[in-house]
Amino acid sequence: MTSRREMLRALGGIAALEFVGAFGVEELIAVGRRAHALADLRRSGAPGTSPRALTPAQHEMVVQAAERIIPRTDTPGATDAAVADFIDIMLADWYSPGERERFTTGLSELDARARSLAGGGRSFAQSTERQQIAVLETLDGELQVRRQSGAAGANDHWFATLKHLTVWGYYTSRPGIVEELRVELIPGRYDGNAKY
Amino acid sequence: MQSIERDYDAIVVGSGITGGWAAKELCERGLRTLVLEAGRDIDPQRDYTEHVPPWEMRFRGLGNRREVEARQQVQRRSVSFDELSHVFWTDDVDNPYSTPSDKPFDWLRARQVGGKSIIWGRQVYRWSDLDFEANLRDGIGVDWPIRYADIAPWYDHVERFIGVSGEALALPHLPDGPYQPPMELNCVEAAVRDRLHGHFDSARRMTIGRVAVLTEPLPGRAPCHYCGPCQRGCVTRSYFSSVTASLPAARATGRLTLRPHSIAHTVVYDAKSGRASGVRIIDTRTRTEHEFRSRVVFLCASALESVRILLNSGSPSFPDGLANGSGAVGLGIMDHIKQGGASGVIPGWEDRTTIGSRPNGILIPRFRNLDGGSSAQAFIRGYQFQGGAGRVGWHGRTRDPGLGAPFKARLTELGPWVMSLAGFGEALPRDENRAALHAELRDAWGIPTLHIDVAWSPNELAIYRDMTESAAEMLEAVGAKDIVRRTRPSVPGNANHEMGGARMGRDRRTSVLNGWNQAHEVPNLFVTDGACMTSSACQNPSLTYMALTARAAAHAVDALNRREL
Repeated sequence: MTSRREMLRALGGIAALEFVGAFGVEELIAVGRRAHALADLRRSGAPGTSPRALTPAQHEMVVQAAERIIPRTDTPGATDAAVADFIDIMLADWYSPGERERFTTGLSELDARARSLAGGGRSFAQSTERQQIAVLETLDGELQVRRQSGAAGANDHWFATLKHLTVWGYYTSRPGIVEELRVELIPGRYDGNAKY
Repeated sequence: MQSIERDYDAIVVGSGITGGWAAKELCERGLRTLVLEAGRDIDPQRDYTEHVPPWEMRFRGLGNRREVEARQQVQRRSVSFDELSHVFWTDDVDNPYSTPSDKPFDWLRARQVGGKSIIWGRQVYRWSDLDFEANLRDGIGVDWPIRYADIAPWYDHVERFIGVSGEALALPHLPDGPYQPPMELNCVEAAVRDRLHGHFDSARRMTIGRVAVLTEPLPGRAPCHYCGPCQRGCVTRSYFSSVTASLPAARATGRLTLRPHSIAHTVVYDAKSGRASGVRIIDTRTRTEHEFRSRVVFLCASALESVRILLNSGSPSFPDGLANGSGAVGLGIMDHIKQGGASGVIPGWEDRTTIGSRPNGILIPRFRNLDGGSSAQAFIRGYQFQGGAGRVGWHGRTRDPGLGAPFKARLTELGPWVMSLAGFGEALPRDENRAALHAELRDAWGIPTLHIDVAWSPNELAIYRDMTESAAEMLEAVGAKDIVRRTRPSVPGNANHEMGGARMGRDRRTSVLNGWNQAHEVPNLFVTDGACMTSSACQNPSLTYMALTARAAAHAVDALNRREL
């Protein structure tokens, strides 16, 4: 068993030439995390805890829409994976102001569509799950039609962005990778013929 | 000039894959060696991020788009560039260059201790005399001044130290080395290999890549634990880099001085002695100039940077650049033409998957023109394939229709097995493909930079077309469905196998370096990075650079000891 001290010495300096040894997964991840944390410290603009691109009301709409797209089943869903927080970071720091505007305008359209549902009349966030699904299915159907007709910029439509980011945010989250995909990130071995 | 500082026996410019080797060999042979590195120092524990899981990455692997669009428009095109590894690539604003508007060239560069050896592809293949004799046979460029027998012991020497896992095949045109046990082909790759060997009667072979990643421990280095993103570093030192192997060996001698933040721009020439007397640098922290002196100088700055330094080192004796009486400095820039190939679905194995991220793929060694070129091909030289098989995951299906539980289940489910073959084709050494000093453009430190004028010739484009057709043919032969052919050749430079510009040769009128990587006209100046290459073959070139470097270092020390330098 390698002690923590021995490991740090072995991994610490490039001058050291002693045998590194085989470390446990948690030890290896810890080294990577520490390196990343140090790198992060040198970076400005640490992620905030409250949404920055979205208003609290818009954030709540994204939480609910994402959960309808990737719901909790016997495994975690989009809410468990904090997908809306990832989408907020992307809108604040990755997309252009124009793209952000298109997205938030889209959220207003989402509300309008919920309100115009027969027997609805409530905002998207206050609609029932079934109503929310009906609105989103309509939007998804329209998106597929746009794509099939080869319409330019179909993937730039705000709903395409919402759906894409929901999927991306979910499957790159800890619950998405560990519990849903059940991928071992650092297995310590390669098996090219494993049972699926 | 700020100062002229203490003397060394040797100066090595660059600490990447060749600079690290020059430092190791020169130090171990007794020389007090100064390594000048343009970038910062690297501490694996602080700087390596391969174990950061996706959910701890701010943009989940999509990269810091705004920063990258502002500062790394060229570097982002590397296959090894990602949200965390981007720190190992240069800043394109500080390090500009130009090309003709109709001839793009991707100059992919790294400035830090370790250079590109942190982010390299790690595939290592020997050349054979099929390659070293090619120019002579075809009457193209100049003849290599060496043959396989000259370099073979140095391939052994390098492979033993760096650690190469792979399979020996006894192919005359792809010689074997002292390999560690090979990594494993996955179940579909193994089946494809067997079908391929059956169909082509073993004239086309498939094997696991020969890769500088350990499957058995070496001193100070652990075997690979299959975590995947090698381009972000390797705290277990399982793949070879200067940072974790050759520079520590050099340091262990007590003779190494490593100076980061030191941009070498000029090799100083002493007309009286006819020798290089040292190197001038700009310290990027103080923006001051310094000059260091030594008995021997090794340029290991990367192919195009070494060309740039030679061209920037003009003097009354060498008005067109140091060691450039031939006018050949900057000529014959090459890169492998890549992205020719195809992929297809291999039906079956729905109940099998892989565990672990294997930092390696398959290799199909060259099978065209093995007789040297008398066959019926529309081109001379050849190509090899790399690639692999894997199951399609959610990444490719984020735009699928649907939502809710069934949508989630479909995304989570692994798709079919897809086998991909991606070619690397040999580029001919043509003097039209050249790098020259730009008349006005300077980098952030005021150093003249390069104008790079490189384009594919009809031979490379014919190779590209054949790569695509033969890949599709092989996939069809092994039972693949839905075969997709690649149709767009890579941009020159994008394979990051740029080479040439200070070629080796027998004749000082047509080449820059002799058979020992020694400048014909400046005997204590050696260039051992990719600039020295006289032709490109189709193998990934770093192994050959390392072997040539070790060989040149041994020669330099012998010559110094005989008082010939």
